[in-house]
Amino acid sequence: MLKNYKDFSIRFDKIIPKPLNDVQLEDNIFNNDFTFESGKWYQLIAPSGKGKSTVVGIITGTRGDFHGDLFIGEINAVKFKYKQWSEWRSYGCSAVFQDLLLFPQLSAFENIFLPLEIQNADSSKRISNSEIELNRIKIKGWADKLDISNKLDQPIFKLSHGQMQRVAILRALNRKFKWLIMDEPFSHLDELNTSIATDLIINEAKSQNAGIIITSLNSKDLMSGFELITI
Amino acid sequence: MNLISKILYRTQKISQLTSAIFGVFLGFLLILTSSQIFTDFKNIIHDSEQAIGSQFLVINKKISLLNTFNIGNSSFTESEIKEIKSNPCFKKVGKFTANKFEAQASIQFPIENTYTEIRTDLFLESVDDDFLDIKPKDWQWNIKDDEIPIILPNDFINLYNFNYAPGRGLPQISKSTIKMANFKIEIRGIGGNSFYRGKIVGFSNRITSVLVPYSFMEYANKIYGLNQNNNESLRIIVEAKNNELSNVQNYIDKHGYEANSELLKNGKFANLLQAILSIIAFFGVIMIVISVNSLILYIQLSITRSKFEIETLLKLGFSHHKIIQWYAYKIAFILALVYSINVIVLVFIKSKTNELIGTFGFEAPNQLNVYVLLSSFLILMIVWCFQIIAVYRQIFKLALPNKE
Repeated sequence: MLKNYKDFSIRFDKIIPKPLNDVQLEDNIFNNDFTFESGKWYQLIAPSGKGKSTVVGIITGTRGDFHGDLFIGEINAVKFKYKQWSEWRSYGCSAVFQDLLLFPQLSAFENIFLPLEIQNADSSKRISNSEIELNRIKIKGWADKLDISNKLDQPIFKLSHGQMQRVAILRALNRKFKWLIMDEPFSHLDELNTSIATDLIINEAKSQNAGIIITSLNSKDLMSGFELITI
Repeated sequence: MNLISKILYRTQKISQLTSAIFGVFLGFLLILTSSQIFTDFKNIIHDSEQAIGSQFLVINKKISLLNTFNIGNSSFTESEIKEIKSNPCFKKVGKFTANKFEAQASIQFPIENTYTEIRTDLFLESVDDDFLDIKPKDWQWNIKDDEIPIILPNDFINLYNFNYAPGRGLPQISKSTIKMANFKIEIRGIGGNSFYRGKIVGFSNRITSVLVPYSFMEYANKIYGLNQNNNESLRIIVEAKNNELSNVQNYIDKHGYEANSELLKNGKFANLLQAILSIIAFFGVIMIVISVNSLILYIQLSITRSKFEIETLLKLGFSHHKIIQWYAYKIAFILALVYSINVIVLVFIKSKTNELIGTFGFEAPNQLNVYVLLSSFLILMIVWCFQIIAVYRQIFKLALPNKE
């Protein structure tokens, strides 16, 4: 059971993504023995087409098109079954995908609240009203800081891309996780919102004792406290 | 607030769903109704107390002009009876034994201070007790008895009550009154004559003869009989298998016999009905196959339409089991709805067909057949499993890392 893991380090063992077979890669993550240490923060920087999203896809278990082995803790995730993948995705890593993957039919609040319901669906105990109320207050506080609190009850499709990005970040934060995996999460945010969001992310990761992997296009938004890796 | 349902419901197309459900509903209704009606009729046919179900036939040879001039022989020979016995259509064959003596019945009743006597010749017959449709408790005779139990044909008493008596201004007589009447029976023959009391103990629908117990017939024929060596039977009675009634008809036609063909018509009717209902049930099966298929297609389509939703839920860590469960519950709900509405409609249809059957004088059981209900439930469960397998296959494809 994933919940009993002690070590949540992520190791890329000789991983070569099939689509990147003929791309010239710096040998630090791919085709190497590279480990993301559990609880540490990483910033991946690379121009487009160099495999940032591939890393995210491999870690979150949405892409299997690679050679080599992926270890989560001591376990080879290439041999994960359905159950382990869904455990890893719901308890191990929480992600902001580049295409955000928000549900257009739900309101912003409902999208942010959803992970709680997903984690509860597995433990089959209903979420109590007081829990919902507490979470509502927490979400409201985050949304206030990111200046989207007046959008919370609006359906997602009415929001701008930048607002959607903030909703997606909050959705990733609103749950338990061992890793935060974020694929260019600030691409449509101004500097002020980026720094507020970064603070939120760091605070939440600290309180959950979790690691972070953030990808970005260029090296001008270097973040302090993050280990820098260029692909 | 169930967000999962809110997410997955978005892609449902109500019009497509209802037409798929309606198809399943109709197919099921066809199968249920036809099998219910079929079992009802089977009950009726198998219930030997009811006329349509009586498998007993009285067979005689056709009377032609030759018989009138006393040239042809209309009695059954031993070999003919043996042949009938060996035919698999028939379970039992019995001979009628007629009286070889003279018999007269007389009854006296008071009209205006004097006794009026009615006298009539009697034609008595006996048949093995197994072939009787009634078993009155007084139906036995031994040598010491001076009272002979008699079974009259129902037609006989009806003929009197509804044709003869009204025309003559005579009173109609109920069956219980007749049973109370005592009349004298005089028997004459080679061995002289003697008097008995006759007592009517019952009325037969099956056999149109005045019946006396075989023990009496045997005794009286021996003592008074005129033509001792003649053991011919002019009529025989057979018990035919229900499902062979059309073969029985063929057999009878082929050999130039005659039977009380009303029963055979009923048998033919039952066969025809069975055939029609089988055809309806067959189309019901085809319809179910098609409509269940369309329901599966609908669900596959809706999963395909929900691909983004399902993939995203999976990426967020929602377990594929829960998604499959969600679909399984919805399908179970749909099928349970179809089943219960079907049962309600079936109860309605059944009450109507029972009325219809009732107007023909038959009685079908009031409650639905348990086996029909159980087997249709079983079919629905199988359908459900098929649906779930279809859902499984699709969702599993989405649940693992994409290797392409």
